Amino acid sequence: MSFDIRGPQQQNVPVRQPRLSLPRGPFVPVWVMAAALFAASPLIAPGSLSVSALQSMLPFAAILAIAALGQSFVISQGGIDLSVPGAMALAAVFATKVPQTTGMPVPLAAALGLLAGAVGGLVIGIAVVRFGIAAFVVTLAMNAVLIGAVMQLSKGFPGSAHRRFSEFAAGSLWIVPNLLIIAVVLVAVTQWLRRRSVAGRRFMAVGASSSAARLLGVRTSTYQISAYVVAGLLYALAGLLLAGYLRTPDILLGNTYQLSSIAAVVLGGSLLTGGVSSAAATGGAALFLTQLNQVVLAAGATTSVQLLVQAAVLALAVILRRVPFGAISRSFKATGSPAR
Amino acid sequence: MLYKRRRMLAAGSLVTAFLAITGCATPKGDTASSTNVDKVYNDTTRIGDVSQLKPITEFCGSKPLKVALADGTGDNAWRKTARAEFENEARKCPNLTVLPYSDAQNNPQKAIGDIKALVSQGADAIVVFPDAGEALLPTLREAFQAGVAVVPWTANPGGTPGKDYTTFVGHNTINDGHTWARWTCEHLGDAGGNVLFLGGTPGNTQSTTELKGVEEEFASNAACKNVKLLNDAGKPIDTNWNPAQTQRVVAGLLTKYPKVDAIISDSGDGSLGGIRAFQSANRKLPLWTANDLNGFACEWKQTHTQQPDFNVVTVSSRTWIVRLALRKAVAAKEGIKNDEPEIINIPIYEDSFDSAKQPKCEPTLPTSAILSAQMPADELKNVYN
Repeated sequence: MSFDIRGPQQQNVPVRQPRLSLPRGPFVPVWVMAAALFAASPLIAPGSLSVSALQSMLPFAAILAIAALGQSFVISQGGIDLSVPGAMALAAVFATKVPQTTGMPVPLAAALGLLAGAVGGLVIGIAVVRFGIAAFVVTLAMNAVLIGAVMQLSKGFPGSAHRRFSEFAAGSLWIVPNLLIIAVVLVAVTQWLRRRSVAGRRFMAVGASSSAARLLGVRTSTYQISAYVVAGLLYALAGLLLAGYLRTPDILLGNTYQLSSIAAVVLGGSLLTGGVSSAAATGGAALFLTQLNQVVLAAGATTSVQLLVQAAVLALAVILRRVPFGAISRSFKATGSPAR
Repeated sequence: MLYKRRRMLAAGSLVTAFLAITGCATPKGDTASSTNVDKVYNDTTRIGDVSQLKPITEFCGSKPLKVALADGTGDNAWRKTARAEFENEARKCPNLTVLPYSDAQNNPQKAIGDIKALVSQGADAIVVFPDAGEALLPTLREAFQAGVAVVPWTANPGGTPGKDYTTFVGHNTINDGHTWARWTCEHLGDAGGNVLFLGGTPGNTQSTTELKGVEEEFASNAACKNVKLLNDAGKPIDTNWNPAQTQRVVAGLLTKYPKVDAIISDSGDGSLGGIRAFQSANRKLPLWTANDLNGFACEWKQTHTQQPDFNVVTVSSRTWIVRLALRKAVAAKEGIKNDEPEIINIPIYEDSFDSAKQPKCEPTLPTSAILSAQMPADELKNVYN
């Protein structure tokens, strides 16, 4: 049994079914924004879609995508991770300084760098999940510990990446930068794991509601801790690849990624409360943010204008995503005027 | 609904935080008002050449003195080199005792505390790198009035020498601009070309005064008549002196300008990123100026054979000016007249066109090592290990 609750004048209006169902959901807007940005790029800065411009931009987008992917693991569990710069910088030191000073083979040193990132993540995970300390505090503290280790290992001097490693990081397969390939593979694998594999679906279920997942017999704390470990590993990988790409990175190369990785995750449509997250959309947001940065730079804006434009676009992007366009257009169609 | 509002709040505050941090994270240059700072570089009575510098033994005197170096930050190769030069210079006078080095770790409060602590430890002469700029002026004045010889160097804290501190020593940044611009015009030749000037942090005095020198040279030198500076007048392109940021900025500029024939940069570190941007975009490396840096020289050595148009000139990274600062401070305390210039015109250190000044690459030293330091080779090696 049902009641018709429409007003008398509305009852004669036939309810229109949408003829074309557009893709919807929280992860769509970022692709629309990215497409719009790329379409507008040549108008703002001519030549910003040229092959060489894209080849300069895409490796940075790939690094941000990998770091943001790590961040998305943590955020999908309702956490937040401020240890990105420390983990990135430590891995970079392992890839550059450690082989130079100790004579350790580069692959071994790089593996140690990745391990260091994972161990950092494990410590954070245990502190957050087992001891219930706020992620914000633990990750900030871990960042300080990692930066301290960076300073200790490097003695304040950056080193240079091995020539062959650097050539790989800066190289490309035909015209596609190697770093982009790595980022796309990682994003695709993560997307597939989260959507299709049992472990991935359990992981997302824990993020959505850990108490419900626990009632279903999922070992929630294992999944929650693993989020930090995987995140640490991904930050370290991002730092490693960035060090290779820059060849001689500065000591604190990860600093700009601390908040931009979070911005990419949020812009991609993931919820900060956890449970809703898309690896692909996070990658899309990383691409959007990097291209935005590059277009503004290529337009030759001063630093102040660059910051203002980026700020405005970011704010707009986040706000626009919250506007209920569907409801507005429905009320338009129903009354012929905007809803009051 | 509640959740939605919370989400919006969270997202909103995140964006705000992001903006606040990106906006405020701009590293501090010297914050002293630029008019006050500019004056120093136009005062010809204070400017001189390296030939007018003297050995410290002329100013040692006989009174035992406690000397100290108060640094604004200590975590990079340049500062470590300068610290080693300071200690090396002090060892040449047997009557000098060096107090422990203080590093303010980029924190103005700590910088103030450090200087006060040195004064209370009985320091007679303090050489200060005032990264915090004018914020340190009251502390410098207080120490100076308590009878300590205080010599700020390289970053100008504003104020008046003789009243707020003993004297200020530094290098003539306008002259650096002239040197780079003259070299660029000479080697671009009659054909001329497009030139970009890359600076450091937004609004920093060093880069703006260097650009002033570049603009003056381009306007007055007949060899520069076909050379075009692509910068807006008086506006350096900000790179934060950071290789990654420079790489991004130069990548953007290469998109904007299809033809770039010379880069005038004031950072060897940053230039390494800029060079990578040219290489990623498959563009020919142009003429390039910088301050001397081991990694920059090594990069030139590696690439110039394949890139014949890639030529470089560097002026010294002048860590040795700290020695002049110490001499001025010691002479003041010993009551010996020191007539060395305070603002130094830095000479060309390396020039790839000049067979006598070929870039010096030392593969056993780190990329960020400064080979123009006036240190014995073995001591220089120890600085970086």
